[in-house]
Amino acid sequence: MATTALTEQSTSKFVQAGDIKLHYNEAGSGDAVIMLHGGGPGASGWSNFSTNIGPFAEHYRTMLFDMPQFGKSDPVVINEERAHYNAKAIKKGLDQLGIKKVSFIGNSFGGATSLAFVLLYPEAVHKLVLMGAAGYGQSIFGPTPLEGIKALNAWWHVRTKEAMKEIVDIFVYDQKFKTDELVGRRFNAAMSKPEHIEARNKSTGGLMDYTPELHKIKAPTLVIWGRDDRFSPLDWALRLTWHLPNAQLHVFPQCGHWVQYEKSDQFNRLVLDFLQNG
Amino acid sequence: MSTATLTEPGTSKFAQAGKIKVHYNEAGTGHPVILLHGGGAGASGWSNFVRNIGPLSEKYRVLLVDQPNYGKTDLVPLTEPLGQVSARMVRDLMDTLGMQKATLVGNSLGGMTTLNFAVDYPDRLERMVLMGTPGPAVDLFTTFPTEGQKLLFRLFDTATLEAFRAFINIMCYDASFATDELLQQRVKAATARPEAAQILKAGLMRSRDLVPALRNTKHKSLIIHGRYDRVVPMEGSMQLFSLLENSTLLFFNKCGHWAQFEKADEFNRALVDFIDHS
Repeated sequence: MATTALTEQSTSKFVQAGDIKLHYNEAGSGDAVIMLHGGGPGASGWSNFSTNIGPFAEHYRTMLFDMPQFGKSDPVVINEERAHYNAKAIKKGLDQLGIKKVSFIGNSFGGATSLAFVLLYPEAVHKLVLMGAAGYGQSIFGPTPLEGIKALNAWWHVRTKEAMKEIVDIFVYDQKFKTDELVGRRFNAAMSKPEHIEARNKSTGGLMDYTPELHKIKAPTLVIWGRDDRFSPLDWALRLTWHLPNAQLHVFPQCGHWVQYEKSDQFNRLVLDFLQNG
Repeated sequence: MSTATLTEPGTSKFAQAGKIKVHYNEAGTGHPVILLHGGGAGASGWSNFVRNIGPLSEKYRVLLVDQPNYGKTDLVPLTEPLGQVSARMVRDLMDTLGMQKATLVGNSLGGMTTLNFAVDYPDRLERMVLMGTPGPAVDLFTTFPTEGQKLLFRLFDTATLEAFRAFINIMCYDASFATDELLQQRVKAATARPEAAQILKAGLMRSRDLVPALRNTKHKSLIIHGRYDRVVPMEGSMQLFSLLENSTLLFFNKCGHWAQFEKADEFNRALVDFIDHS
């Protein structure tokens, strides 16, 4: 089933996850593969993974969750560690759907959420794929936060299209991806739910450093990074590969912080092979 | 003699170096120590090393040299990389002033000049000190251009107070010292000769491969970098440390791209110790 046959509307679903409602897009059948988007303004499951859901749905029950405070999920004020909160919310949703075991494909903050999930519910996870994942303290080779994170944090208070354009400029590597269309789409998505922005600005929960916990994670993991990532520094990829007992690393050149989009075809082949055979 | 008694006009000199009329500021007697400034628009020897000329001139003959196209030194078209042209100019200046050997202290671009000097005129170099100097090989863990470099290049076209404030906020770990008055001086210096900006924009980044030659460079070297340098990544200094066999590496914490200013006391002491004991 090609991506052109799948649309956001045709795959759109909701599930009650405890007190909150989560939105997700779903296609395909079989083992469940959950794709988790990053934490930038305007992010959502569909916007982050629209070039991946098609190929994955040919082999897996592919689910693109909108995190709380994003997309069409509920706006929630989060005052505990955020990846933890997200992980628990997803587990409640999966319990509601009767899904016992999943693999995660987590981008940036979605990567941190995936780690929080596998630490909380190790028996519920088959494999992990982490792209430009957040959550490992300092970089050894330069000051953090990187310029992308600085731009992203500033946006929640500035909220202009100009500032979104700056984020996109830092976000992806190749000029061809830096389109007005993408900027407009992300900006409109971010501005369409003022209650999400409000909830986020009220939230006090942060992101912890998961490094000390990584050794506990037995699930086979594929760590993927863009060599030119200006949000998550490259040495975090090595740190993950050293600390996770069962990890491998793949770095794409000429690639920024949106690996699954910037290197769509290669990403899909690489990850499908890992899930099926790795 | 403290910096309070030394003034720019009081130390200002000109000398011929081949075809180039060189401006420099000089104080003190004894072993010649030549300090070479960084590459931002409006930079000069005096402005870069204002916190160093005083203490160092108590012990050495200190020269703050304006490099080609900077300060009050001639405009020089760049048919070769600036570091090479500048190194040759320094050698010619030393000939004019009757200096057989000197210690070269180079900040950022000045560090590249120093490396070129070490490679092209090794018998004229006593020892070298490098601050915030770009690595001669590819940076493995940081992206190019860096956040700071993007702002630095922008300054060649847009030398406004706002642009300089944005740059100095990135350049220094703590930029609270930067008054509007100080920045206005930089704007004035940067816009004094519009042709300079055009020459530098075109010629600043081109450089030859110094890696093989540096592997054979035996001069005693002190390599200094700020942990929070967002203009030139600190791994550049790690590269140099791996290439220069007689080198010592010194990283300052809570320090950006202007180590000799932000950590003036520690820097001056480290320099004196290095020069007196190597």
